[in-house]
Amino acid sequence: MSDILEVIPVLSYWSGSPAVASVIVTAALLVISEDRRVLVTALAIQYLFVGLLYTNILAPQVAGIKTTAGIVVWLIVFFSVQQSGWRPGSEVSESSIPWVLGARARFRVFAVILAALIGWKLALPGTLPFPVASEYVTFAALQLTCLGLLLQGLAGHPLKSGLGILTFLTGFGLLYSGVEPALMVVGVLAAVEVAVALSISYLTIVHMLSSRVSEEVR
Amino acid sequence: MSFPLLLMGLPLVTGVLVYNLRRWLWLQVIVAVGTVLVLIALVQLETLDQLVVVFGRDITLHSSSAVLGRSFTFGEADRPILVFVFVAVLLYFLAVGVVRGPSLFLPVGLGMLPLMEATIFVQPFLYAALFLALIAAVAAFILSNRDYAGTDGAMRYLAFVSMGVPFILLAGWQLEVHQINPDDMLPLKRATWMLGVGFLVILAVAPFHSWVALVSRKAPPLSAAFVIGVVQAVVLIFLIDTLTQFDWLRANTQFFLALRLGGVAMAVVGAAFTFAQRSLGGLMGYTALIDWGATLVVLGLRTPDSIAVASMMIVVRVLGLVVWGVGAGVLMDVFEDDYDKLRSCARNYPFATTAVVVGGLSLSALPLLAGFPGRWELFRMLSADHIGFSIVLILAGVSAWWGYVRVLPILFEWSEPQTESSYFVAGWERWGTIGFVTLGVVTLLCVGLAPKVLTPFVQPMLDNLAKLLV
Repeated sequence: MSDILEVIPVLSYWSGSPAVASVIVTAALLVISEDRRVLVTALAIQYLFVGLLYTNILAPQVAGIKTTAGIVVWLIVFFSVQQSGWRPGSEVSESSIPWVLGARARFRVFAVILAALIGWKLALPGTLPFPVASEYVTFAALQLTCLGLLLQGLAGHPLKSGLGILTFLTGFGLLYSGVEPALMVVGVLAAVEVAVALSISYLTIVHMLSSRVSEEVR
Repeated sequence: MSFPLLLMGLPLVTGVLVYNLRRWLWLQVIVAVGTVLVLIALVQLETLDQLVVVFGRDITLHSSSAVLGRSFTFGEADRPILVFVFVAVLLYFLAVGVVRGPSLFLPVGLGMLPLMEATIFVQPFLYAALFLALIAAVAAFILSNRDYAGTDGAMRYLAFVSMGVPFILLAGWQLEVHQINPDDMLPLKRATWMLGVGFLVILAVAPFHSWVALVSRKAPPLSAAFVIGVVQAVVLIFLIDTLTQFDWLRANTQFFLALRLGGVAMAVVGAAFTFAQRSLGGLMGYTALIDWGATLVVLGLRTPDSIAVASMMIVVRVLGLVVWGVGAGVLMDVFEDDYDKLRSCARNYPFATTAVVVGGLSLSALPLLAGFPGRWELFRMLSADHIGFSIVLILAGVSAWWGYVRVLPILFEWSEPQTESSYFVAGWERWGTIGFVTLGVVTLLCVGLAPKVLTPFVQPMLDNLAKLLV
């Protein structure tokens, strides 16, 4: 019992600024990186810290539902990537030297900075009519929303585009949970995320099969 | 027993059954069509909230049930709307029986039915937006498959719906804020523009229209027709429900102006691209965009007549699209979507070609076809005060007709010297397709010649709002 009580202050520390920083970094990685191993890892970390952020605005049990939904979403994405391949032949890195950013990645870094600035500006008090349940949460949620929209706009592949939709929905879910913590709404929002993950998974597999067929034809 | 949950649960259960019957299409169709017929019969029940005896057992069908603090309520006004949705879905299920649709169409279609019903039942009704997001996610399974591997349309559709839904949900929250402090009008203003933006995004108003063209080009024709015809009709019903519920929104002339302008924007974009299309799907997509634009314009006129005309347009669009979907499904299975590959297809597939042409022309409101009376009535209503809008819509209609005029010589091309008697080669099309197309084309012609035959079905659909707008 005492062990559990010791965990609470640790959790409250991690659900503050470390969670916000992690969420922003992982969302930025989702936009910039093309490596599916990085994408899947970033998504896992993102959902973990978003779960922690939920503890600031929802009852722990309800936050647990959201975290469970996040785990389900991540598992769906993980298995679909595993099925479609971690390094598909069509997605070859631009740069031959590791850790050197190609032109596309440099553009994305620039776009991420701009989107993050917009998110930061929107999070300033009085800019948007949201009740500020927690400044951390509002800031992280708006960053996720902006970066999710950016990812949707930049990505062409169903997996990355889908990750953009998921990031956007996660950000909105954080914002909206402060406004409407009703269990039914939280549940349906979680169901929407799972349904989106399933459709992304399906579309990724369809895309992979069609790419394979066109490669065989060539 | 909860009646709304019964209506939502039945298609879900049979959807699972139908999924497991994938090897037997005819059995799938029988179960799916049977389910929808049972739903139509159930909706006619007048004995809600009363004790009835069924097979010797006392049962009370409750019209409302609470789920986790929110309720699903079946109202009298929902009856005709549900009948419309069920009949529309029934037509598509029958169409799958006559044309090789996506293998998941029937189970996914049955799975989408409870979500469509939930958008009508859920209270507070703005939560319907959440179910629209679920519908968009589920629709991905019928908008792309191994034969139609382009995933862009499904992704774009999902992305736009996901973007629009938050606006509607946040509008609901602003309304709650207003209810707490009725003197503060700011939340009401915010709710108005949030609802406006949310609906314009979900209804594919330009510049959020790109998914319509992508879906119609890259998805299986029947699925594209289903999403553009039926699912979008459910979105419009949700909009009309919103207008019915909120007096302040009905009194807001700017909201209706936004609807009119949005509709005209759709028509302009459609007109700009329809006539130059090089694929049957693209031609249908932009034509449908014009038709949806016309519907928004008529709704934006805010008169009791406009509701009747909008209802007529929605119903007729479903008919036109299902006929188009059957024809295009047959042709695209054999020839692909590109005009170059469709040359002379009428020779072997005269009925499917006729379906594509007549369904498409009905959608583009050609005189004597079903789409025309509604459009004509709209022109009549616009002629008094909005002559500019009618000119734009007429030009858009001409652009769509021109698109079909361009494709006719390609579809009916005589590629080699043929005598008139030997041009059509019978035996390539199935009897089911021939029967469905014949019935569909005759219906489109009959409705075009005598539109009043639809009045008994259309009138009750949105009667409530018509009364409110008097």
